[in-house]
Amino acid sequence: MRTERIIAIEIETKKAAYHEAAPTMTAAEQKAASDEIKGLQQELCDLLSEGAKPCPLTGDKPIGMKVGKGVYEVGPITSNLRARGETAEEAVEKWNKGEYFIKTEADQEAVKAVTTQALN
Amino acid sequence: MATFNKVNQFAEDVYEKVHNLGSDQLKVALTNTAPVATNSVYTDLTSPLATTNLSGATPFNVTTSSSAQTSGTYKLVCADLVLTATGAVGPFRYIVLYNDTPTSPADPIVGYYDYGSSISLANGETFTVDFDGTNGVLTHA
Repeated sequence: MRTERIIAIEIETKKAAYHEAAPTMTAAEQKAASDEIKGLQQELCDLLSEGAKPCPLTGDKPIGMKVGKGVYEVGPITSNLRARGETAEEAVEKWNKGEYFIKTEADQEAVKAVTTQALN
Repeated sequence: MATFNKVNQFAEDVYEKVHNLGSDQLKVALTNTAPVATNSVYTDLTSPLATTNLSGATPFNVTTSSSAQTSGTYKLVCADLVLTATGAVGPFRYIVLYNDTPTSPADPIVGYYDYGSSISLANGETFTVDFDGTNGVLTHA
């Protein structure tokens, strides 16, 4: 299996090449390069959220991302629920246990909605 | 958390093939002069800081994690950006997000964050541009 580091380096390399060539690319070439980069980004998101349960609010699969040095986050793009950890595995573990990360009012509302759903 | 303010031109650029937020290289610019809604490209900004005294080869590059729609709602998700000073940096109050890839128009602005007061970094200090993780930089329903 490809590692986070290998995928991240590949994204960086492909993106730099795309950035350089974009002004002279045809629309079809731009689309192909863009699709390739997005595919790699998805691969990384999938790797960093491996083992995560679907979102209890939307049922959607969460994505994983490194939000900073030693900070990983797991959450779907369709709700404000998210969990954080020092590793991707820890973030997934917290997500699966329902130990959500709360920073904003929207996060708070999302967690409240999960609690309400569980009570009903 | 600082509020994100989009610039007027972004609303048009999105619909006229200027941006491909999924793969274009987004960057931040730091300035101590307030951008205005009519700013449209990087060169409209007043005195954006250079990368001097910031660690890394491309300290202003933003990492895009996801650019996708679900059920008609689009969300752009980017990783937080940590700026590490290797000497004096600033002051700056506004973090401008712009797209470095397009050449016509060159470097169109997406929007900016106002941090409320001027910030200066000393050697070894860090500043995190908080793109709010999976909650996203921007959404469009």
